[in-house]
Amino acid sequence: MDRVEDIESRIASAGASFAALRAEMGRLIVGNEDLIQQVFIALVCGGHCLLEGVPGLGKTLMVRCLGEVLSLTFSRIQFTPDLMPADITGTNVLTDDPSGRKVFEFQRGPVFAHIVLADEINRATPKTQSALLEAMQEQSVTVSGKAHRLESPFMVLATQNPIEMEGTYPLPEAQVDRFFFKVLLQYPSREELSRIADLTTACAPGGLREILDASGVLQIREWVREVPLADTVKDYAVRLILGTHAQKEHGTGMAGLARKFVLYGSSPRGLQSLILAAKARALLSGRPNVSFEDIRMMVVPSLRHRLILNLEADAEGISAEKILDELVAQVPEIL
Amino acid sequence: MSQARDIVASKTAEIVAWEKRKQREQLLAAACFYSLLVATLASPLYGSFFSGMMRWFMPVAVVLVLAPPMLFLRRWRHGDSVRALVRADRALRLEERALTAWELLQRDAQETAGLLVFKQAGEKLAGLEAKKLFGRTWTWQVFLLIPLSAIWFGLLWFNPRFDFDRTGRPSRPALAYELREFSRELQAKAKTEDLRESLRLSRELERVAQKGIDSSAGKEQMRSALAAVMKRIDAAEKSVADPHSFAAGESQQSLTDLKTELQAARDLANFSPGDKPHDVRAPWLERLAAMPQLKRRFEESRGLDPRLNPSELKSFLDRLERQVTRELDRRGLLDAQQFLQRMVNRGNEQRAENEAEVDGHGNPESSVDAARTENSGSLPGTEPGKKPQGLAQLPEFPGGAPTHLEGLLGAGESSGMPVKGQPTVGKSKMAQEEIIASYRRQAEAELSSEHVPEALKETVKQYFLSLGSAPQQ
Repeated sequence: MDRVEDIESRIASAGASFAALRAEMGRLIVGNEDLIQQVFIALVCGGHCLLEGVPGLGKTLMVRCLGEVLSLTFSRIQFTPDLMPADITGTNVLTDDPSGRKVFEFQRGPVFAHIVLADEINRATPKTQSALLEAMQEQSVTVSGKAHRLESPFMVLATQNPIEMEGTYPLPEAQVDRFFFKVLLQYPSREELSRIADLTTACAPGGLREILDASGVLQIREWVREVPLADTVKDYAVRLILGTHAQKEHGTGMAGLARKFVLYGSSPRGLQSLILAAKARALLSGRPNVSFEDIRMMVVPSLRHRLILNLEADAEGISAEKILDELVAQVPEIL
Repeated sequence: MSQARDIVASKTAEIVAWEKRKQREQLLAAACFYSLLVATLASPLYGSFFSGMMRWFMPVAVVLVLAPPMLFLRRWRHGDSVRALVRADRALRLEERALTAWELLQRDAQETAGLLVFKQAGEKLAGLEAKKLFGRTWTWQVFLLIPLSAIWFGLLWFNPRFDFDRTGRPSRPALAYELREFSRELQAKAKTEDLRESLRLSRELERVAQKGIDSSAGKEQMRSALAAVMKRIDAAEKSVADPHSFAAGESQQSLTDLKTELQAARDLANFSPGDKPHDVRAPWLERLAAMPQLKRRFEESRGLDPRLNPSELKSFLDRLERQVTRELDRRGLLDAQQFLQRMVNRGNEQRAENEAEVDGHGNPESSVDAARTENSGSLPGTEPGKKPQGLAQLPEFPGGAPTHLEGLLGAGESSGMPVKGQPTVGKSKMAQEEIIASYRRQAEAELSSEHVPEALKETVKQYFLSLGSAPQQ
């Protein structure tokens, strides 16, 4: 049985690793500290992230840096309308074996990496999207009846361009629900823009230091699941999920905006995401247990993409973030 | 690690126990507040249902009724323990460590990761003193308890009267004040005129009246005290009555004049036992010229007897004075008896009026009026069953509404002459002389009041006297 000292060192190690990672990535990534935290939390929780932001905010750079710092392989897939599923998963190619015979050899696709950046996923056809989504769900691809396991840890960061939506294939809500987090990239501030200019137009800074490796990430994944969760805190998370539902029989009917603008509330996946993310946050903050604050901070990234709003919300400009903020303000921590 | 678990177990139990105790205290304080509030609001009813020491225990009785359901409905639950520990977490900035550790203890979890939770929670909780950290907070009911207690205590101590009966019935103290006033007047008169029985009775009446004013006597007690006094008046009046005395037929004024003249003539009858008997007739007759009442009595008793010595004169005067005093005393007792009878009658009439008004039927109709009302539809020119047109509609009588005007407390000016109705056939219980004397007294009282002009008083008096003597002539 582990001793208390082991647990203490474990928590300290996880916190220190994350702090070092943030500091290291901060050398190249300006601002977006919440983004780095949420992406890392999604990684250690075994989830995938949906990134949304205008082009040029550094999404690709951020994912590449993350791979470097964590010693994880990185690949980028640019989705286009003519992209085929085999372009993602790989395909069997006829080659010559050493004896000269013709054999089919499986050529791995770009999905066979630890971290996959699926750029503008909404531009590809649904068939191609589903190939990636299958890989996300099963962590394996099946080609010609043969299953090929993907790397572990495996994380997909998919991006959607909110500007050029014409001729695109938006992800269905059922598929969006499979993403652990939806992270919004904010436009940098004046000081951040100034620093970006310094970093990118002057001499390139040196490479990033490796902070963790794949085994370290997997180790943290195990530790995350062991973080104790009090029933009262769990009940708070449950009431928040129920609060996203407009119908009183499913939800608590507490939030007025949810009652008025939400068509369908969060699925149970939202609760899993919320609790796992809260555990990860507690661990990375150096605490041995989950607090109400952890739950509150993880509500928006966990649930913002899981609420289906009605046309009235669209007309009145009510966003999911606004509904979730009101929900957090109204739902009490304890009854 | 078991030490950390023990610390967490003991300290969380201490926090929960302290919070539980505070909650119970607040509930009891709230129960005390509401019971005092009920007792204060219901204090006007105390006089009707409770008396004496019972009133002081009303809040205790209400607390005994209120407290158990309040304590049951707000009994300590699991959620209360959770709330208490969350408060402790916030106060100590533990970020739900205490709560998590407590829950791990509750379910006896053996998770490895929980060990650190116990350790960190135990370190912070070890030095905790729940009573110091979480002091008592008093609700608004507790702060209002003391002023409310003062109000309730004041209401019971000073015992203000809350009269819900607005029919104008004179309250017991008003009658008592009236009785005391009468008794003092009678006392003053009895002392002046040396009327022993009247003086004794007036003092007794004053005692009864004072008891009524001090509210130490209840309604029934006053009534029975007055009845006892009236019986004594009856007995005293019979003991001083002398049916053969000339004074029974005399008016009050003539008796008073006679008594005054007797006192003035005393010196003529004073002599030492050693003096020689001598004839005092001449100086006596000379003195009598200015004393018409005494002169008349003397002439009636002595006639033309030429001799009159002082002892005879003295005995005459003594006898006459005794008769006059006894008669005045008797009349004083009669006045008192009539006064008490009027008081009793007035109380009975007003009680009957109150009962009629409380029923909401107003004054009871006489049988004639009832018949007239019933047959109003059969007046000529009207259809049966329909109210006749042109008759004024009586306003709606709101049942139970007061129909008396409230006036000043106490007896006001009044003058009147009670007139008896037709007597029923049978034996009279009062002597004719008494009746006549009573009428004469009342007539003289009216004459001596302001209603008859001064210049005409003698004329009116002589007229009524002539009526009495006319048949004899």
